[in-house]
Parts: sequence; C-alpha cells; structure tokens
Amino acid sequence: MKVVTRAVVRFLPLPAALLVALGAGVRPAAGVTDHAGATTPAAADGLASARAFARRLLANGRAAATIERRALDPVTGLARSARGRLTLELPDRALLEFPATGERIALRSDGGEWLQPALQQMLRLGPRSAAAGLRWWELLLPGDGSRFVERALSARRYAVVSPSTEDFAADTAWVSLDAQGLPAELEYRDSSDSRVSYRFSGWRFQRPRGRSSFLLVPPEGVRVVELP
Amino acid sequence: MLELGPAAARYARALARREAMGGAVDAEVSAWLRGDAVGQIPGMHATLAVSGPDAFRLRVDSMFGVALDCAAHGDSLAAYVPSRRMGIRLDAAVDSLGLRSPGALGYRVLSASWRPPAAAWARATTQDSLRVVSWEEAGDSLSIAIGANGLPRTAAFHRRPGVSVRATYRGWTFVDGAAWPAMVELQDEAGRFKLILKLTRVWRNEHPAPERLVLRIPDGAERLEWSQVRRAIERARGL
Repeated sequence: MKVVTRAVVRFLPLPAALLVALGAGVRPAAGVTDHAGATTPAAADGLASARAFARRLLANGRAAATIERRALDPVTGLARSARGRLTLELPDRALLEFPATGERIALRSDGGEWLQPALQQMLRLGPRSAAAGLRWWELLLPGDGSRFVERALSARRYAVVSPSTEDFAADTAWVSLDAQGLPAELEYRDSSDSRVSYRFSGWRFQRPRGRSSFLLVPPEGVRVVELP
Repeated sequence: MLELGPAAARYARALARREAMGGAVDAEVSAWLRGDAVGQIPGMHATLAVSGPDAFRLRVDSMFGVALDCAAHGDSLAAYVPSRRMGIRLDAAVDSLGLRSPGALGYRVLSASWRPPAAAWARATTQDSLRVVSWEEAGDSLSIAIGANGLPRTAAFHRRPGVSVRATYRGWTFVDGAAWPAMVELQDEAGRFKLILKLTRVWRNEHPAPERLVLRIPDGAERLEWSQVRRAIERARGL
C-alpha cells in the first residue's frame, strides 16, 4: 500500500454533506415550531425538517436508507443516476455506499475515508476535508442549529439556508419529507450551480454497530492519498 | 517492414472515421496527474467533451461536485475552480501561453486527429515496427508514429523549448465503428508532468447542446490574470 501526502488539496466541495445533514447527531427539536412561509433562525437544538428523523435516530442509534442520486451533466446533457445506501449512526458517523462502482465514503467528525475503486485509490480525509463535507451536518449539532435559517415551504418541504462563513458562501438545500416526516428527497446546487437531488426510501432504524463499521480500510494495492 | 502505401491508407481510413464522429464525442474519464512539477495529487473522475476541429472541455467532478472545469475553443482558453470561485479566461492564449489555438491542439491530441501532408508520408521512416511521419506546420514540429493497424502510437508536438508535448496512445476503443483513443498519456519534454487519461466510456453525442463546450465564469467570481497563475505554479514548483 502506497501512502502519499498532499499538502494543499481542497478536494471535497461542500455539498457532500447534504446527505448527512439529515441526521446523525441531531437532537430532538424540542421547542422548534414550524414557521410556514417565514424565515426564522432554527432552534439551537435542531431543525423542524429533521425533527421526526432525529427522534427515531435518537431512539435507535442507527438509520439506513436506500438512496438515489440524480444530477444533470451540463456537458454531456445526460441525466446521471446512481443508486446506493446511506447509513447514519450516532454520534457523528455517516457511510455512503454505491455498489455499482464500489465507491464508499465514510465521514466522521474526526475525518473519514473515500474509497474510489475506479481510480485505485482511497482518500483519507483529515478534519478539514471532512469538515467541508460535513458542513450542513455540523450546523445541526447542538449549539450550531442557530447558524441555520430554515423556512417551511409547505407542510412537508423546507428550504434550509446555511449563511456564509469565512470559508463558504451561503447555500440552500431543499428537504422534502415523507408521510412519516422522514427525509424523502434532498436537493441542492453543487459548487458549479448544477442541481443535484438525493431520494431516500426504505428508512430503517437499528441498534448502532460502532465506529469500526464507519472506518474504511484500503484494499491491497490501493493508493492512499492523505488530505488535510 | 511496412509498406508506405498500405500504412498510409489504413491511417487515412481510421482518421476519416474518427473525424466523421469527432464533431461531438463525450467520454467519462479517469485522470491521474503525476510529476515533480505538480506534486502528488489524487486521481480524479472527469467528463470530457470534444468537438472538431478545435474545441474541447474537461470537467473534473465527483458525486460531490466539480473540482475544475476547463475548456478551449480555437485560440481561447478558460478554467474555473468552483470551490474557490476563481477563474481565468485567455482569449488569445498565444499571447500568454505561447500556445496558438489550444482548442485545436487539444482536439487533435484527444481524438488522435493528426493529419500529415502527403509530402511527409513520402519522407516517412521506419523505427522498429512503426512508421514515423514528421512534418512542419506553421512553425511547429510534429511527428507521429503509426502502428501496423493504422493507429498512432505516439504523437509529438514541439513549438519551442518549454512548449512541447508528447502523447502516447496506450489503448483504443471502438465507437460507431471508429477507433478512438481510450488511454492517452501526455508528457512534457522535460518529464516534469504526466497526465494519464483513461476513457472509461466513450460515445457520440447525437444531440449536442450548443453550450456544452462553453465555460461560463460566474459573475462575482475572482478573475485571475495569467501572471497570477504563473506565479502560483512557480511557487508550487518551489515547494
């Protein structure tokens, strides 16, 4: 296994984490009220759009769903679709898996790994790179919710705005909920302003399995690239 | 030893098929950049679009967004890094890069559309099992080495010291009956960098949108001058 270090690579554009924004680590949104049509800072302990999900995640410790990513490629004009699986676990773990390509992404607050079989490499993400991926999720952490602005567009659809910071421009995600109040779709515009959507189905809540199931080990022969 | 006639004919037929579909070809690409000049950076996924005779666009992306978008059309060249909201546009690349028509050069490299004049074929030499054809074109020196199958193995472009590139075609795929480069290695003459492009999927774009090759740098993005980019590259080399 070769290990190389790249000093300055900001390889993870911010929207990575819109997937994990939905849940890991959020606390019940006690005290949060719906603000139909009004733009109101979210309560410090969670967003209304994540309330039902957070309640069930907290009760069980682990959530998993089938996901489908859809995006339009502006160069080829093709709609791209990828199906996979998302697993979230308290307190800070997320795992994305795409069986068709073998691509796997593990994110934790202390970093993560991104296995890319087609490139025969695994990116080992340091806290800074993981933070870029976890931006939205971090803002759902206790005490950070106040940095979000959430707006109810309808009974089951919300716009969640992350105000600009020193590192990132303001950004918006749109969250749609299913009849149980669980995330059904997440949409955002990526760094190149292309619209991307993730659809969720078959949410299951289980007992947590621990950090080791969110830690990727590089297969033999895979090049490991360290990102800060 | 190869006969000049059949080799030239095979090359011409294969080239004609590539050029016939080269008006709009798209590909998914795995890319690796290596070399002392660039340090060690991760391999990347990219989307490539080419349009003969003089345009291409390469968009380095992943499921998380776009890392780099670059495009060339004729004499103009543009690049944009969305995560940093920084971009550069050179409308006359020859003035800054010393590179005339980067769009045409990129298209020729990526599609292996090298067209030696008839006189060059007459002067062709044989090296091992390859026919080597060299010619001058608007002050540039070009040379291609062609295999028995009529496909180029290498192509070298030399303008002046510092502006020389060698392309090695390590693999081919077939698209609509045309042989198309499936693996291309680009290397500068000093060996400071090597760009490896592996085209994992290639197809003819039947309905190309007119804007597919147009890179727009958003309003509000920082627009860099070439001198700034050059200084950044020099600093990177010094690391």
